[in-house]
Amino acid sequence: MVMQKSTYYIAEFEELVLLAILKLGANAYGAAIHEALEDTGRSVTIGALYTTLSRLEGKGLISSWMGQPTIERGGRAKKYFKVLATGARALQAAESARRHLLPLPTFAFGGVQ
Amino acid sequence: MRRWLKNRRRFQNSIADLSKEQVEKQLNLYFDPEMLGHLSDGQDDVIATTFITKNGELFYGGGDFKKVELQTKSKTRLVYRESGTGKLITLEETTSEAAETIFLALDGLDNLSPKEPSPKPPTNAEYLLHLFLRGDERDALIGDLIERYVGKHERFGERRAKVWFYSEVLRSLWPLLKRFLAKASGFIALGEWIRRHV
Repeated sequence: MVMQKSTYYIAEFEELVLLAILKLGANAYGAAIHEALEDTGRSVTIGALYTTLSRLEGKGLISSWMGQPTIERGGRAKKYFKVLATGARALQAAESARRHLLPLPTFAFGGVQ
Repeated sequence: MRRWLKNRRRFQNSIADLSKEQVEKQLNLYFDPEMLGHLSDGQDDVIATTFITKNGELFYGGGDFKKVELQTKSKTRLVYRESGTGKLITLEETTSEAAETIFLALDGLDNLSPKEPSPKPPTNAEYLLHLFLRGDERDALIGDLIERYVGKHERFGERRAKVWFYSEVLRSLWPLLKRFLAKASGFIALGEWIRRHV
């Protein structure tokens, strides 16, 4: 199947969010993703995270569904996210582009001037 | 604002008067095979389960508050016992299948019952954020913030948790506003294009 080329382009933060969703698996909801991103040392607000999540959903890279409301969250439901096949392909494409552009190890470690 | 406050208080109200569907909706249900086995044995005994509400917080056990008991004989009834008078009022007759659902809900309640009231984040900051959010993401985003606020409160105390909450809300406004402006400018551009070409 041939994908639209534009689907593959994801920004760096979008890539991190997709990776966090993949890492969390079935437990990928807003607060957990937020915490996972903060654990990487990156300062990110929940508002920025949700705008990114809605953009990724708009691009068809992730899907979401609502869970049950819980008392600990003031009676509010969790919104769970899942990476779709297009999202996984976008991640692979980003990874492949990065590898392609990465300098050779000799350059990276200062072996060759 | 009034509507928002009403919505915010919905979990602080007694759940004793709620229907089975509402109880089910508000609780995390889980499958308890032991309880289901007990029901399917067709035992006629009353299966005692009580949940009690007080000032919107949920408890499990005795006390002089409102009680709801679930009984099963040939049919299962959800019975509401008025506090003070002890008068029993049958809310609805249910099938054993529905009773299982309520039982699971009540079991879930036992796990969810807070020992002490959970800390509440600053209302004004929460309302400010509410104004900038789309209807479909309000519950999820504010719920996530509350969950993280409770975690910070337990770890660092109320003062730091509040500072974190205010900072998170204020820093979240810009990306949300930017999204709104991008959408609005898109509509303006579309309107302009239609005006020129149509």
